[in-house]
Amino acid sequence: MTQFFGPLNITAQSLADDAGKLQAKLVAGISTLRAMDDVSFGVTPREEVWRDGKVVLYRFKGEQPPTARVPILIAYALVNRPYMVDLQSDRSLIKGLLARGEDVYIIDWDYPDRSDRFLTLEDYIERFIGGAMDYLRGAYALDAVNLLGICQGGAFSLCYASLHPDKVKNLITMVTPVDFHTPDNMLSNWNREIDVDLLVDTLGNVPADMMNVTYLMLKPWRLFAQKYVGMVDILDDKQAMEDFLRMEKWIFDSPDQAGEAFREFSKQFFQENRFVKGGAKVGNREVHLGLVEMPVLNIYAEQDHLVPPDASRAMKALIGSDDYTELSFKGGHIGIYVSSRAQKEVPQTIHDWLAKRAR
Amino acid sequence: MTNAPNDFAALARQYWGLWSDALQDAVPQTEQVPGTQAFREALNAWTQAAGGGQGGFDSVLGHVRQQSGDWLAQLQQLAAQFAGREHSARDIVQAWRQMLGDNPFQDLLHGMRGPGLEGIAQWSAMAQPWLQGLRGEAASLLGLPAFGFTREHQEHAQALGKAHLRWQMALEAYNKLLTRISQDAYACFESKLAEREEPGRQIGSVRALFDLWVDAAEDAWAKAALSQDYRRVFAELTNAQMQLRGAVQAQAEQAATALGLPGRTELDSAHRKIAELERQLRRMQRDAAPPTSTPAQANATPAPAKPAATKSAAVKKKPVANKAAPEPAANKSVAARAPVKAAAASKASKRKTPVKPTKPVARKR
Repeated sequence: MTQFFGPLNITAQSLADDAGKLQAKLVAGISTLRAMDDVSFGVTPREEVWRDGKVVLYRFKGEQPPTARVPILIAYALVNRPYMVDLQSDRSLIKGLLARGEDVYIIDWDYPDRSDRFLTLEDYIERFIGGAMDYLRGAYALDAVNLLGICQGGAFSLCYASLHPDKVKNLITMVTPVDFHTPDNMLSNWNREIDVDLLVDTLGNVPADMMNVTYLMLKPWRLFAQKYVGMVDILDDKQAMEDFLRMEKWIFDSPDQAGEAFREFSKQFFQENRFVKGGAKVGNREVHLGLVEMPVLNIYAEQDHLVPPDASRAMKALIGSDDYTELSFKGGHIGIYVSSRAQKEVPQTIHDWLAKRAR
Repeated sequence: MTNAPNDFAALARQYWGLWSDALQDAVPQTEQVPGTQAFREALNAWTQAAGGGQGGFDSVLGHVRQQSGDWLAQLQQLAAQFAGREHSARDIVQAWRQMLGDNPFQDLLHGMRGPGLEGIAQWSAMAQPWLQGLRGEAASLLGLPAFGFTREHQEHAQALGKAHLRWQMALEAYNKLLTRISQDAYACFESKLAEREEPGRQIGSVRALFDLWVDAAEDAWAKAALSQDYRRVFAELTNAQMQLRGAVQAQAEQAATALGLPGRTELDSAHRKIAELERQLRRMQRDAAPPTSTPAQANATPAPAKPAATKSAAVKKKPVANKAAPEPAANKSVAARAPVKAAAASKASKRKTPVKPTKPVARKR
């Protein structure tokens, strides 16, 4: 056989073989795709316990009654939906926490429409998170309950904990940005010179598709091309295709962003980095992270392309708590909820950490 | 009734037969390998077979084909040019450049479109009724002073024209930047390919070749996208687009008003008033509420199943390992206790300035 030199060791035969394999995948894919039912998501039973307008507080129901005395309220980012932490039975932070005896609640932001354009950060933090926290404190006859904030919801939770330290027993933050000006923060770099006032005044609410395309642009070739080329490999696997489509739903089912809250968040945090530089405000009240004195568990992802680890780790130096713990998760911003490693590590870490502080 | 998988399989055998023959015939001398067209046709046939010819589903699969199949077809074509012949990293990059053009980033980003996310080009098409007239008007007219009965309308039209020109310039600058990033990506691709010229490190499949291109393109992108230059150019593009949208919306709103239709401004104004009234109402409710209730409870829905019957049941019960925790005492409030606790509670809240840890915090896990 003749040996040719060059970067490619590809022959006509190997190309034909590849094409044949592709053909087989495509043929199988026809049956797979046609047999696909609607993909389900959000697997854990839950019940509504409180609402304020569109915003609803749900309690998850585990197979066993909870053993934890203090409930956890989860607040996620406004760009997501609640099933992000409860995607499917083997990829669910909720299931993991319930199975370990935690009592878990989640706040559902719903889909803002144009009539919600004037919702502010004060509405989201004081009215909605605050309302849900007050409900839980009342319902459990407790002075303070646990708060778990995710991504932007983590930033909201930090604000709330700073403004109401007496109401938060333990604070858990996941992939939460604190220092928005780390040199590896692409999203922040793009935001810095945008005229946010003009953008919000023009668009009203910020469309979800605009947010999503921005996230795709962080890694355009990987997320817009390579991912779908790779999908061909699983066209003959119904289960894998269902998982894939569920993730697509997870990623692209995003609410529009209420204009005023977007304006305040972008300017105060992305542009002015006020957690670090000071002066962050919710309504008329100033946020001081030094007042976050309750125990804090900060979970960040080592390969997070949206919230770089340094953006999250900055919390340690800024909060007032002397009970600060970090979990460095080997994975990315999405893997921290849905990867198999996450299912093993994250709920167990949260549970163990809370258990130590429940004594 | 058709049997889609079997029909497609028969058709595909024909297409791939052509493809395979083309590959086996000889070392291809042309850029367009004869079988490539067959490859594309096979993918088109697959889209139809999988979608069953149903319009809506076909468009969904069209996206799949575009985002995966088209790439595979192009890569097959690229690899076929060098299969079984001497070549260099530079040869591959040149061929790839010929296929993708000088600015593949622009093409890729242009593909990120969808309902609710019209590209500026598509959006411009929608805005044609307002933009059309501008093309004829020279830019020089945009600076003329407006006067007379219609001066306000003239100024709006001029603002729209200026915004359109600004956007065109911003788009040009952005595309220029994307071209530069594309060139960096090609250079990076060549360098990564060169590292694999030695036997033993060679690339053995079309997929591996594509992965290498993606690595190179992402490296080039990450470097550029974190730069001040990108920040500036991207912001100008966004700001210019918003200015243009705003100007068009103002024109459209004027037209709507003339027809007696409510415009965005009017609705926003109403929503703003409602939001503010709602806040004021909440404030008044909070101020008027007796100290024994929390605002939240006013909206509480029925308690979860099996609520603890009394407050004491919830409060006195000590947590015991492996025992079920108390259900929420939904009908009882801690508010009576909370204010007392709250008064003492936050010594922290009395602090005027942020407090930093006084000692280094050891990592505990």
